[in-house]
Amino acid sequence: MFDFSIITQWIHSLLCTYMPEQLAIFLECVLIGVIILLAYAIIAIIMIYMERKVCAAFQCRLGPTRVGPYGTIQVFADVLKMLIKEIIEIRHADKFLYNLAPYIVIISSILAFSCLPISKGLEVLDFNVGIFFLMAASSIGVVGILLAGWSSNNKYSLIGAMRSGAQMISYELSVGLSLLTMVVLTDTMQLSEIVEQQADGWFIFKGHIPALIAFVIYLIAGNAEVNRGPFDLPEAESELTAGYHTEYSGMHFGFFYVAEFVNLFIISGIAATIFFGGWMPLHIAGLDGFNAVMDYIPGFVWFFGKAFFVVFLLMWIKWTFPRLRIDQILTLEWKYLVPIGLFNLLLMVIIVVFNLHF
Amino acid sequence: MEEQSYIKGIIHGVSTLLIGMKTTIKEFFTKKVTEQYPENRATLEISPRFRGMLVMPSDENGNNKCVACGLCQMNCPNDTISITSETITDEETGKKKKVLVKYEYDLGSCMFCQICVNVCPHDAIEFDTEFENSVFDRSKLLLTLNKK
Amino acid sequence: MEIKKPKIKSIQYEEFKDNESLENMVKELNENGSNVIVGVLDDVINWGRSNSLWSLTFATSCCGIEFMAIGAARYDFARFGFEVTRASPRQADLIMVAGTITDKMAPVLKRLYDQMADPKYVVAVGGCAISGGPFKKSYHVLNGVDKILPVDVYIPGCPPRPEALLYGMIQLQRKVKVEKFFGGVNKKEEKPKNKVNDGQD
Repeated sequence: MFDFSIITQWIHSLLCTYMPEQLAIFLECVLIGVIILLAYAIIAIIMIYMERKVCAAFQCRLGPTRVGPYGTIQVFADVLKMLIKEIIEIRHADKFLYNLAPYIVIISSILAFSCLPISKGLEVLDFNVGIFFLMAASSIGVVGILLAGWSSNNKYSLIGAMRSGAQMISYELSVGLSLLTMVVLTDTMQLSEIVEQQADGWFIFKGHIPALIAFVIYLIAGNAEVNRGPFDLPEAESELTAGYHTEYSGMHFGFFYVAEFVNLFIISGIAATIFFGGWMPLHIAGLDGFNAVMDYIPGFVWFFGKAFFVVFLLMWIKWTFPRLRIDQILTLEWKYLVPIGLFNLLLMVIIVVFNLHF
Repeated sequence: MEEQSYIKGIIHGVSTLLIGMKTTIKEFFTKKVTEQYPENRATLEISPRFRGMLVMPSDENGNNKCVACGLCQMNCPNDTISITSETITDEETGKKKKVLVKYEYDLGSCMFCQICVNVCPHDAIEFDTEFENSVFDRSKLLLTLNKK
Repeated sequence: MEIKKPKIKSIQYEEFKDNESLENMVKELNENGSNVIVGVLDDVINWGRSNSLWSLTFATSCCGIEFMAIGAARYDFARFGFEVTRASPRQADLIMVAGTITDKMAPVLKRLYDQMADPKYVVAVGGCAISGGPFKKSYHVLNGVDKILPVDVYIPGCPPRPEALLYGMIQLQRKVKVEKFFGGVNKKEEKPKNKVNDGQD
């Protein structure tokens, strides 16, 4: 597998020959920041286009077709329009918090996005408590949503934000439990190590039954965590107009809109990394020729392929099921997912202790 | 017993979810039924009984069949039609005859009930299937149907 | 100076109804001339705006069903990019007044229109929104929504066919494409023609 750390080391040494090391590191940080923002925007555009086309295909109609060939530049038109829309100032709204909320949501989203290992050596944030940091970063988004609802001076936004807060902090427990189950199997929380350990088989095959149960729980809980799919009550259109982001217009609303789609991609990316092997190709023990062929396909192709497959799964779920009520959402979490998750954790510990996994 | 219905409940729930997902994925692969409107204008088939817009058909010389009796104006529930007529003396016989000067029709308040067409004794007006009538200016919806 | 002709896929400029209003608008906006760079930027921004018109989910009566019909599978307005209909007026671009507006609903409609973010458009769909329609002589119906809102496109019909609604949206796209973004006032809101009778005389 091609190792990108060769390129990064080469750039670093090149910069160090021309300037002191501090300045080189500073320049690298700026460059990486710009690249992350660009990648974020591009992934958002691809996700929005994919959502529209997949949604249309499930509903037996065509999606965007007129803007560009097969409607590919539709999202650029949306972005252009969003940029020039007027940003309305609300009287009697808490101005500082009102303006701060979209930025908190975007920052937490970008922090979680930069943890994803895209290829060998191509990770931005990679420390030894990677999963822990990921969970913490995605929890900051809850604060953003609560602030948005609170500072809008609108009682329906407040209801939406409180529902969203309750839902997100409940489901973080399930996400944490399912990720913890896999950490028991892998013994490390560092994301690049987790991917390396899947070289002889993905975790969903290695840890058979508990890994499968953990995957299903993770999908459901991840869906609820990002307010997507059957769990999008906080922005339920028929009940609360637009929920916590009712009073936002223009680019502030654009941030919420984009963050929702990229959060979906992040959840899928983490599922792809932990359960399906990240950028590791499909290796079957014993078939060396097959493994060699699989190794030719570059790592980021594998990663994006798996992530978009999980995204398709989540979109399939969204466009099949009707929305759940808030009491049904909380019942599902506390009465079903948490007990099953705890039992699953116990099962995984037993399997690891008695060495019953592959 | 509590545990039995709990587990049975989970299994039943999961199986119904899977049935739902099977239905949608079959829908994903069916042929899409969208009629692509601006591209299919050349082959669009509109039923001839569709009421799009009122017209007064006239033959090659510009003569129409309207005798300005005013029946359509009297029977229209909405006062959409307004007829201006004048009485002229016919040169040959010397009799007075009512002649249509201007036939005004407000497309914006017509409700397409077809009473005017049914009531007309000489079949002077009829509905056309033209539906592309959107305009930017309200005054453009006040049409004059007899072209003179 | 050449008149700006907005191009729409699959329909020729000459086949459209009411080109005169567009040409008058272009003449008024370009009286002071415009420089080339601003013109090109205007074209790009107007292209973006016209292909992404998000409408408010607003429907009061039968024309609302036609609005739902163009959102459904057979006549799909997602092909144009309009399918993201936002429920909050602050995030919507245009309000499609589909249905009869009674005197009780009129202040609510005006409030919704005021809450929308610029640039915003109003499309009056169906006879009821243009002139009161079948209920013109009723005691409580607002005879035409242009008494309280500045309307951009009128779509006649009772109710209009879904294709007629799509044609009306295409007309709105043409109007957006000739607007000016930098400098120039595209639309002055006129004073309302008649006071709204909300029963409190």
